[in-house]
Amino acid sequence: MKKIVTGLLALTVIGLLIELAVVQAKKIGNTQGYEPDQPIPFSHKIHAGENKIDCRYCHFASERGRIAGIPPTQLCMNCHDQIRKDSPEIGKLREAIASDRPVEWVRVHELPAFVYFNHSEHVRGGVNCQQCHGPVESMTRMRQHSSLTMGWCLNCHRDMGNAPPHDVKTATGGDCARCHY
Amino acid sequence: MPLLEWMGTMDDKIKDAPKYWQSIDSQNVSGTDEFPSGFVEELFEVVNAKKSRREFLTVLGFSVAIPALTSCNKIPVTKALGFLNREEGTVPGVANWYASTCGGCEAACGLLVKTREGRPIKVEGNPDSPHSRGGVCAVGQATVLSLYDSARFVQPLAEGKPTTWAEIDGQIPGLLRTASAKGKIVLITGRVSSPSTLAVIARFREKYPNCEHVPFEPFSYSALFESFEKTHGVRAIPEYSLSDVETLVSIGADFLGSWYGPVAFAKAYSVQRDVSKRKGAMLRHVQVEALMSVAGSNADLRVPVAAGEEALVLATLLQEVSKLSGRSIESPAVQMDGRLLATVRTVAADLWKAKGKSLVLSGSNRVDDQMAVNTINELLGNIGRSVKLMPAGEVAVAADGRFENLVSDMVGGKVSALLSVDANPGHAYYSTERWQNGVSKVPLHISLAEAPNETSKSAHYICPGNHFLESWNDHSLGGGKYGLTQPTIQPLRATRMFQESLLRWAGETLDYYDFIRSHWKAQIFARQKRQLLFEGFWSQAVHDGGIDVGGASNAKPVFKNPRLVLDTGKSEGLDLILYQKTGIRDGRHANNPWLHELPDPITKVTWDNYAQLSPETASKNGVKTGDLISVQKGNIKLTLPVLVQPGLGGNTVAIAVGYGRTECGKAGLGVGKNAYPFVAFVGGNYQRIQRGVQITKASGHYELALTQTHHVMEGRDLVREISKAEALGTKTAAHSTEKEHPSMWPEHKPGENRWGMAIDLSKCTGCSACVISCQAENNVPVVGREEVLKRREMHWIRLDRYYSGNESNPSVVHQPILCQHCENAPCETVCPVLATVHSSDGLNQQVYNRCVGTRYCANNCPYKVRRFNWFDYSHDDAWGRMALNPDIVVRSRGVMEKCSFCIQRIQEGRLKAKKEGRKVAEGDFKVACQQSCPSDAIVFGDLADPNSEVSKLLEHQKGYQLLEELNVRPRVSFLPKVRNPL
Repeated sequence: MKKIVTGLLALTVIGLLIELAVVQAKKIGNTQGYEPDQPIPFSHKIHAGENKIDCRYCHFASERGRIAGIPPTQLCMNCHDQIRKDSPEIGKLREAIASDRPVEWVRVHELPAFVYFNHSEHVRGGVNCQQCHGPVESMTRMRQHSSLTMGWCLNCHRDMGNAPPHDVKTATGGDCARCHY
Repeated sequence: MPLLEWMGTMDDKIKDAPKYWQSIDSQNVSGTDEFPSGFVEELFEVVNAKKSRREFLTVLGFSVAIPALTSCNKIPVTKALGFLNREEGTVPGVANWYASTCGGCEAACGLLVKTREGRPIKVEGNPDSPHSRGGVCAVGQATVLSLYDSARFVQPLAEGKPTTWAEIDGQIPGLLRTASAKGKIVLITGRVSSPSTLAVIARFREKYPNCEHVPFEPFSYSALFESFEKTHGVRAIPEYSLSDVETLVSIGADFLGSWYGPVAFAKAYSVQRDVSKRKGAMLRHVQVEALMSVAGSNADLRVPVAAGEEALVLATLLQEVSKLSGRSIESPAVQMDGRLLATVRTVAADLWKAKGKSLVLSGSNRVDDQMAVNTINELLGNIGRSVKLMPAGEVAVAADGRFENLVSDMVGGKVSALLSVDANPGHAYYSTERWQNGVSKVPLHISLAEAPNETSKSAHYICPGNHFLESWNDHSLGGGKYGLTQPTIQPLRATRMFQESLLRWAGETLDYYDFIRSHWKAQIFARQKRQLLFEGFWSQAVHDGGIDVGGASNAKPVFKNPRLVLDTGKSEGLDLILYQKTGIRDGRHANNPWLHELPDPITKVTWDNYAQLSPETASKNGVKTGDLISVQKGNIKLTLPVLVQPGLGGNTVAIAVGYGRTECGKAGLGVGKNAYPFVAFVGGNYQRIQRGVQITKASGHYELALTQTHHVMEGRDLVREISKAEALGTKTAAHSTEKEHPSMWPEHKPGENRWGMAIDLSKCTGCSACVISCQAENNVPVVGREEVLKRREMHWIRLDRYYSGNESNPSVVHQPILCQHCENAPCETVCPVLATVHSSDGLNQQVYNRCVGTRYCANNCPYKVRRFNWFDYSHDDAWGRMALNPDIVVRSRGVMEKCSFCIQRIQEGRLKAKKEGRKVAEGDFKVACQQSCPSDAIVFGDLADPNSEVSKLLEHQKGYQLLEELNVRPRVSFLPKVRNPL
């Protein structure tokens, strides 16, 4: 009896360890929740939330190309030529333009090089920015909201299974090379 | 001992010990004199200690697991940079295309340059270009890599010391004025076909009246240009038109490989040889040559002769044609043996039958030979039809005699200043010694070259020029046609267009862009009536990459019956012919690794030049491929490896020039040997054919990096040939193909699209433009000679070249081989990790992130198209990386890769269609090899659409698949080769 109990206990412990290992392993390369400090404490909350600037005003490429794009510094100055122009943070922007060296933002969302993702077809297809990027309008500091893993992509495309052409079968043909090349 | 101190002592020890380790055993590891005590023991503790197998595995496993896990924990921080100020029209992630003109050689083909985030990453042919009509050659494709060549000059140099342009512009005019007072100033360029550049030079000469402009080109066509003055009394540049040519005879002119303008020729040639579209009226091509050239390999009749006897054949042809024409032409008496004479007579009869619709070309650089060709063309009524004589007013061509005089003047101390632009006589002039001697007597040498070369080496001032992708320029293409080059990127370094330097030094404040505009406004705009305002005219020209203002004169110049002195002697000993290889050409692109690794279309050798011998000559001299021989003419001697080349004219040695560069970046340095010293200045021009050379066997062997070592098809019909009658369907083809085989695999469910490709073997000339185009598009790495020798080249598309018939004059077929995208793909069934799988639209996908590198797939592929990354191939050059296509991943070590049918382009086409709310259709995209093919041999499209070009082609023509008996059912079909024999 004692042997059986010890055995069961050992099995449970091993099982738990394996479970733990799998859970941990799944996190490898997963940067969900990444929220680095930026060279300028730019707040999406102020811009997109309080002032209700449309995401696409700054991330103009999101409707047209693969990447949403970091807005050109000159675009910031469209407003900041007038607004809060004495702030030292805005000074950094002027400094960047004067010295011809762009601001080095820390990249938050990054897909591996072997993944193809195109913003334009999602944005034009009616997917809200928030659906993937979360409540950006309430983020003081930009945070990676979703896991951006392959399972996460597929889950979304599967949930829409009732509505081609967005389900995974119609959208990708179930082909690896729709996204990986 | 503290670590740093110990490292210091090791440094000393390394200095003293030049012997490198071969293996651990070869070193004395027991002694304490080499290493601090305990070091080696510690290093090998794991191996030497008496531990059980289990313990060993534990240690091993742990030591692997720990670094693996710890390395997974940290995510590297990457930076994201935006534009400071976005240029109008640039959207990150979206390509912009600019029309331009190629600067890879003198042919000036029309280009479309693809830029991403402001970087040019790919060039493609401009279908609207009036002469190249959408094709680009391998060299043109590779120019985009030369732009990012890290060996290029970074800034101006004065006596080897970095300086600024302001400083340069302050000093040079004064120096030039002094030089002008003392003697003459000489400006050496290549051929200048830019009217604006000529105007700049004229302006410069106004300022310095003592200045002479001498163009220099190793392959100058100077005899060709000179000959028209003697036969037709006009200074003319010929423009060849194949649009109604029925018989084409070329004597030693490789017009599909390197002669004159290969892309324009290939385009027209393929149209004229399309048997089904032209209902059997197929151009017939006869090639008489010593070298086995690209053009020769496509000929319907190829007559191999010794290099020195090309003139004899020409003279005989002239005699026969003049007999047929009944006009008395003074032609030298010839003696030719019976069989060859009979052949020449047949050819002459065929030419005569097609009079007015034929063309004769010669690659000779002797004026009399070219005069003979003009005479034949005149007798056949071809002048003004297939040979159009364009006035040479807007082009400064290289004249060999003038350059020879210049070198004499330099040696004689008459030149007080030398300005060299992109010509490189330091390498390409036959006597380096004489050149050096001349240069040493010139007190002021200013080089305006882009990158270091043998000429700029001796310059006092380096005022580096721009790459053509960073420049404005124009090109006169003859007959009122003009090409424009526009910059697609800001200069990467502190360089500037050489024209701008000349303008500055001439005291002009206008920059070159404004100068071109003002020149066009005054000279070209006025000659047309379609545009009322110059701005509109200019925008149109920039947008289209050029403009045609018409006004080609149709005046037929009067033929003057010339006296000809032809060298009709027979070759007694061995002849030598110097030629240009398809990739490296005259040597100016020698620092481009893509071109070095491009297998020669005929010999399939990468990375080297060599001495070609015919099988007969080789066996007579007891040498085989790879043996070293010394080739000697007078006191010039060169030791090179032998390459036995079937079909090479008897008693001929052929050597490629352009190799053996001593001053360039690391890719080209010391590759091959320089054969220019064999050039001789005879009869007013540089001669590249020499008689009476000796070869002697040298000791040693040099392995040539060949990509094809097996030349026979082993009795399988990999390449099929059908007759003209069969192609036209008037006769049943001999090959009946059984399309249906029983299959063990379940059928794939047909998707919306079924991508497929048809390759027409009749059209493929073997020019290899597709290879480089694919390399640029798909980030295919360069592996180097050593790796090619291990069969590890990475090209996704290769050209297999097969011979048939006898060794002395074989027939040649070129067959492009890429992944065949089989329906029943053998690679897919053996992959243990499902890294290669079938897609719904019929592609055989390679999923790099799944691949673990078992290489089972490559072993199971019957076509040998899969490439394995044995290393992380170098993409680490910060400049070179800029040429990478950001739409494609750079594959890492241990991953298999292969042709993807340009999946990124399919995706782009599909996305375009999706945004427009329709299905993807033909014309939405072209795959890279298809786009670049100058002869339109490759057609890609949707097999599910019965109206697509590829479907129609395969239905109407006798398409077949490779190794049908394996029932792998490839998606790539071949259309059989059709020849047009006499």
